[in-house]
Amino acid sequence: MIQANDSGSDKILLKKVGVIYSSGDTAITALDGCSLSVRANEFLCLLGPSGCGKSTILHLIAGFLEPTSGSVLINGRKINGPGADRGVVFQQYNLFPWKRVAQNIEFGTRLQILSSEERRTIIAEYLELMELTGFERSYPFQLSQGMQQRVGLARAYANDPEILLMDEPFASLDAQTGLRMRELLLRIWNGKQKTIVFVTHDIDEAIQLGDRVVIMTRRPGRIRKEVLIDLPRPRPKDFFLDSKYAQLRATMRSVLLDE
Amino acid sequence: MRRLFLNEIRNWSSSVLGIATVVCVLSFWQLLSHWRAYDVHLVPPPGVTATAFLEMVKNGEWFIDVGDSLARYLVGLLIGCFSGVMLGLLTGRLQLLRGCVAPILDFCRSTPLISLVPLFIVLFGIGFKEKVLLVGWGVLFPVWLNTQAGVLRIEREYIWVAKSLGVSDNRLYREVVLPRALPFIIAGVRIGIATGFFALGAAEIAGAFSGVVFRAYYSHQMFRTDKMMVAILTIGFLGILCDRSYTFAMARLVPWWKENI
Repeated sequence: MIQANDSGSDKILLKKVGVIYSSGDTAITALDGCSLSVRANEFLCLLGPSGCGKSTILHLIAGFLEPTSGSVLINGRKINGPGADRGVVFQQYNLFPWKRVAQNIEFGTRLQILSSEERRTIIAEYLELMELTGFERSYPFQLSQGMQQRVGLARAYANDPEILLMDEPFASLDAQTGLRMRELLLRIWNGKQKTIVFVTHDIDEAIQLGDRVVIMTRRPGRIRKEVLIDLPRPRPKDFFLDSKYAQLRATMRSVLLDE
Repeated sequence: MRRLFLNEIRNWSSSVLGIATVVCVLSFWQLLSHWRAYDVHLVPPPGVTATAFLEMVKNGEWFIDVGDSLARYLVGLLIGCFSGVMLGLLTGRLQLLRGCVAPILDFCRSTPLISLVPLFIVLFGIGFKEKVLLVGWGVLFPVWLNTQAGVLRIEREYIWVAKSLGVSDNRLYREVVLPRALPFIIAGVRIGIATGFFALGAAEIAGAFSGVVFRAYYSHQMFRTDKMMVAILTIGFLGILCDRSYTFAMARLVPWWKENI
């Protein structure tokens, strides 16, 4: 188990974070004494049943939410709201329906400061990577759900944040596209050195992608177990034939089912 | 492709059905009068109404009425929409201001417009200005309230995504908050188009000497029920025309509007 500590090498650090959502008389403890550290350039997967506070952790790191207790640090400094250094991909409400595909992708500030020519190159590059070439002038409502999700991914990647926060980004894609998008994500992560926090409820996805998988308990969310995925990278397409994989999978399953 | 074609047929056939129904109702009405089922002097049949219409077109009366009414209506509509959107954006954004004007807003929009006609005449005198302002008043509130709701109801996810892309407050307002409110504003203006006609009606029954609603009242007093029917049908037709051209234009100008967000 990796202990969260104060050392400067942590890209993201959660120290005994508690989050209580209160509305009227009812208060729900979403997170309770949650400590977690993510190294720079690490690919971390958060795994757990729905309602376990995975997304809450993501929202804390993104700066959408302030912890009720404890603190959240990025590069050793306290977070002050959302910023372009931390890109997000949600499952829903990703795209602005009033902007065309290309306008959605170029919305990020890091693209806005570039010359229009550089911007066009980057947009074309991501359109091609996401298999969206020819749709740059379409509105989101004219695209399938899977295509919309790919535009959301393109926009997050194109703004080139140091940290990518992803909330089940491939859940709405068909199996084949999901496979390609996972490979692409790994390629981008490899090439550009990003820190990724990836929320999922899919054990296989977590093992395929992560350096480390953090398994959470049902509400109130606590960290139950951390599993190091010491499978070699790049992971071959048949990584699931590896006996180590079967072992990891069995461990995680038993932790999740133990709930 | 096939579905598109079917939709086309469905749209086309529904408008044909609509027109067919109108023709049926008019024929039935004509038959009723033919059978003397009611006093035709009180409510003239379509044939007599059509003759009256031709007479009014020939002597130019119809064009003057429609022109005067439309001028009052359209200028008032513009004023009402513009001020409604501006006020809605302000009160949508500034919570303090919203709290301050809420009681006045509620009072004004629940006061029947027709009871305000004397006040407007006292304030602005009888004439074009008073009538335009009455129409503007009728349009103002639905536009204002819808705009305000549109600004307030924005999903937090849109704001989150924009801020995570590093967008400044100014761009956030212009490129996210405003466009998100646009479907609400479009709906508000559509209601305003209808309430504007109510207001025009109120404005033209007192202190008017021309206009379609004036014509209906005046003809009634002169026992010219045929001309009264022409005026009533004209105002209804103008209402439909305005609403249809507005939704037609919006569907083309804002293609993403109807696709729900």
